[in-house]
Amino acid sequence: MDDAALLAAVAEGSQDAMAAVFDRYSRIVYCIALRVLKEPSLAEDVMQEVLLQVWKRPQSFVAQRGNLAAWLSVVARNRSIDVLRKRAPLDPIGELPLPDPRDMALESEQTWLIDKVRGVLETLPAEQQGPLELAYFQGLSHTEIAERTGSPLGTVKTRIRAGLMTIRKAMTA
Amino acid sequence: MTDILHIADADLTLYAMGSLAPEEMEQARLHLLGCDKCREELRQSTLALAAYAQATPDAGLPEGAQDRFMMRLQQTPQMQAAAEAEPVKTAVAPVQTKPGQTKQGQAEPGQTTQARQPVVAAVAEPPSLWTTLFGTGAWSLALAAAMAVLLLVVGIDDMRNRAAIGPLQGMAQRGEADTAQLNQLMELLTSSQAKRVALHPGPVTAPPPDARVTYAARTGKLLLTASNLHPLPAGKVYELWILQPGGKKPLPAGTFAPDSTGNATMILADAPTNLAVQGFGVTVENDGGSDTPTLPIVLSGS
Repeated sequence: MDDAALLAAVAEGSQDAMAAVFDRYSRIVYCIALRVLKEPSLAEDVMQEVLLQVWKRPQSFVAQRGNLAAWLSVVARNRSIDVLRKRAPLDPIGELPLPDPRDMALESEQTWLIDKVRGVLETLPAEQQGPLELAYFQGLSHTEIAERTGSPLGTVKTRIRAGLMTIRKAMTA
Repeated sequence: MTDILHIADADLTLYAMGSLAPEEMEQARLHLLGCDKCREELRQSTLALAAYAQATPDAGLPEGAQDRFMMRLQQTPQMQAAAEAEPVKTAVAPVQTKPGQTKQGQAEPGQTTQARQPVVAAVAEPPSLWTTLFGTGAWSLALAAAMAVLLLVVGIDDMRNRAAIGPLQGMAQRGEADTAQLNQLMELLTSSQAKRVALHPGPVTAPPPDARVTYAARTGKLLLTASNLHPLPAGKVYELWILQPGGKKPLPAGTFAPDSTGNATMILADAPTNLAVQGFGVTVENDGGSDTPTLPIVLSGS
């Protein structure tokens, strides 16, 4: 069953469908949360919160017809950063539209895409990898990264952007 | 990064991560409201960041994680689609209300939870009252009555609005109101085509500045009421801007200055007509106004 059909079943109240969503995406949501928080119990809390949003409001996601894996990944990261920095949520959790031409992509296509991204990350220069990691998985501002690395603010911005562009190119190649 | 130029790519990447300073996040959010190009760039960056997140090495789930999740699932009710819509915040007098004339303000991507929930409401139309009041020739009575009707029609639901309209009501009672201007005001406020937009400040301070704009695109009539505005230095005024979709240049829509209590009212009878309006913003400009907004945008709403 593809994501669209799964979400439609979730919207009709099927707990079996929600269990299937859990089987498909809980690991990646948990791993992203763990990468940010470094604490398994906190990461599991974030995972539960994110997936329960799919259960509570599946119709909002069905209407947006985005890429479910991408949506869950972004929300998992954002929630984890919120917890890490003990701040109020950045975005209303159900209102982060992420329309993608590869809507509801096949699992195999998604896996292939992520493998490609992993490949380019291995070759990403350390001066790009570091600031990208600090900004995305530690939630540091560019000012904080500049202070921590001793690099000029503009350089930090440029390196984060360059790292992200490398990932984008890998996704479209 | 302005409403005329596009957001720098590096800044857009940081916006996608939520890593810009709060005031920069707000400026970018406002720009994105009306810029398809930057929204597309943001979408691409967000998808790339999602892929970056998904490339995280697999660490496996903790023991019993699925059981714990399913237990919480069984205790968690689903929300119905209809229940998600918040009630529309209007208080139009029952006799003037027409079903289906209100709609809810909508959140956009990247919006914060503290964010604004602008109320956009079409104003009900009472032609019989209008004809009755202004067909008598009893101007002082009519003006006072008109202001009373105005208060009902607009659906004033908070004390700030009452404070903003108060000076106009006093003018009517003293017979000092300009009849032509009041006619235009009434026409605007009773038009079924008019929209009301609540403008809010960025970081909240107490008491926060607040402004409301009512604009009829067809006739080019516009009313702004504001309260709790910060006093301005000599030679400075507030300027209202009409924000257009598609990254078009914001249009100036008049300048105004607060009185000693921070209230301001501005009525324009000749605002630009037939515009697709994305929202409104207020900046501080030199006396006489400007052709292009000077950041920061101190109040905004969409």
